[in-house]
Amino acid sequence: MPGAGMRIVNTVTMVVMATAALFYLANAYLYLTPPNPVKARLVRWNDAIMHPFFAQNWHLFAPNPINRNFILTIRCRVGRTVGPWEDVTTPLLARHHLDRHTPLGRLLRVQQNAMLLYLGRSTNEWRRVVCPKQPHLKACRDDPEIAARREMGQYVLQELTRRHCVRQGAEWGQARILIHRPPVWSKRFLPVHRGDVLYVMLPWTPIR
Amino acid sequence: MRLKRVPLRLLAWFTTEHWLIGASLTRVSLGLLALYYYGLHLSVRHTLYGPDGVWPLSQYLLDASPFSLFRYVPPSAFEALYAAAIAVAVLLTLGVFPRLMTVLHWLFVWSFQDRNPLLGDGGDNFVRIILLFLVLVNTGAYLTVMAPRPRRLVETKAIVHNVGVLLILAQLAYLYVSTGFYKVMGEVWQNGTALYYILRVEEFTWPALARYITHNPWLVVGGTYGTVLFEVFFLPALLNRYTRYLVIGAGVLFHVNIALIMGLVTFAWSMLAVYPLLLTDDEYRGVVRRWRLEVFYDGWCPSCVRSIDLLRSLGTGLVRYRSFRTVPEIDQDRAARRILSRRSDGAIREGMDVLIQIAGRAPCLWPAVPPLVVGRVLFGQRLYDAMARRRLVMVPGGCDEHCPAGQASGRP
Repeated sequence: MPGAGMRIVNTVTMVVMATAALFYLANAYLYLTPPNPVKARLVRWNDAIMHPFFAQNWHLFAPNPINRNFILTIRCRVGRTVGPWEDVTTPLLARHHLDRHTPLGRLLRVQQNAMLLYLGRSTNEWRRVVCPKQPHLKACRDDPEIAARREMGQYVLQELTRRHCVRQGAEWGQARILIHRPPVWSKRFLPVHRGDVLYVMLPWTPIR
Repeated sequence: MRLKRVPLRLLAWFTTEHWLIGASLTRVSLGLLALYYYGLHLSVRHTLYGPDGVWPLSQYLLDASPFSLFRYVPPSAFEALYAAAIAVAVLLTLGVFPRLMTVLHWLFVWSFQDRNPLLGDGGDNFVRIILLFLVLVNTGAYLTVMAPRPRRLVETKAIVHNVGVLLILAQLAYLYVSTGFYKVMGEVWQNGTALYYILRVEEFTWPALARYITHNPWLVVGGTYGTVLFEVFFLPALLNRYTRYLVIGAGVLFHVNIALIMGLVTFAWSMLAVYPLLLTDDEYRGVVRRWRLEVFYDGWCPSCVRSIDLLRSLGTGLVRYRSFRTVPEIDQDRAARRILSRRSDGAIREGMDVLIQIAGRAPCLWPAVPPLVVGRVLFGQRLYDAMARRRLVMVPGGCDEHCPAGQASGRP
């Protein structure tokens, strides 16, 4: 049996630890809730406690899962000759499907995330709620976090372009993102390559 | 009166360390995950994290975290940094100074994730937070290469340990409940077709299997609603004594499927790494008790003794081997014919069944289980009997020559 002094120390430790844990859990709970009036009021404090060490986002294919394929194609220019578009994603995908433990799968992840960042993906849930309905809001157009992420995505895509074209001795390279939306559920028996396709072109990049 | 006792009971509960086995398993699992991660990235480490990688150091340093080691280590020391990260993961797995290694491992995980944010997924995010809580936890009680030190139980440390584990479990529950509620809001999760759309995205599919799922409405709707139900009801089911094993089993199955079909191996591993904490020490001990086995072999048979020595070296300590010649309460005639085993509940098995039991209790012998089971089903005990009859038995102080098995069996 611990002595009275030890019991006091234990009780104080328990109360302090339990209070700190409950405070964290209450804050984390609020942090993880969808946008709501209480959160709007406390968002600054809430974020200050959770960032950077406890920042978390458990959307995990929610509320709606990603439903598009992003294929990166690159063309290179030597003098006045412009080469064909070359698909640099499909070979990585094929390897990833064959072997889940290939390092090429990690390069695929980088490529995919760079394209998503360039296209304006955000983890900021306020944007997800507000911006599809009011895209012209200043917060939706000029969000510095989005701008920084988009810049990062563009840099990495251009770096991938440079690495691809430098092997061909090219002076310029250009990346293009092919956004493929597979057939919807009602057309599920169509081949997967059918569906809508959209292209997003990046500017020409000088090859160092 | 009972209410008055609640604080005392709480104090008594908090001042005893719980989940020690689960905490050690979690440490090992997180260490192995880190080794897998570093190993997977080894051949492409320069592209992913190197000074001249796709996101070069010069760009990264413009907005690097103050806690990132990449900020302070010169580019020329990149290889040393990578090697140090691997060394820390090895030491964490082995349980060498586990608390210190957890802190260092968190520092490396934080640094690498910050260095290349294009690689991260929910699993990486989860591990980063869990490691912070794991610093509070005593993860070195089991599965460690360090010699056990005579340690005085410091009750305040026990309180910190228990709170750390509870925070990890709460974080796991938050993850499931949070994503579950977000999914409920999504249109395709509501109409039951979310799984179809996910498996149509090339990055998250396994074409060889996906087509059988995406063409089948039962599998798509079942998988979609099953995911939401699992996530939303994870916490209440875990707290219920009748459903907790079901929900733990469902969770394991769920994440194994995510790893296999969607190819998100590290995500699934990150989540499963904390699953050992869902079981208490008593539950682990109960499993070990149920799995403990006594095997009675023929100590007068040299080849049997050699085989048992080999099995002992491969085993996990769950099987205790004894020569039946020294255990009078065992039916000597029966034991002389076939190797016998006795479980903790007293159930006796013999011959091939014992070999299957032994192989099932040693991970390195698991590959032998299927052929043994097939042999048992096809030939019964005949294969074993054929070998047992031909064994040589040397009776100590008995026969001068080798005695046949049948002759020796009658002697004590």
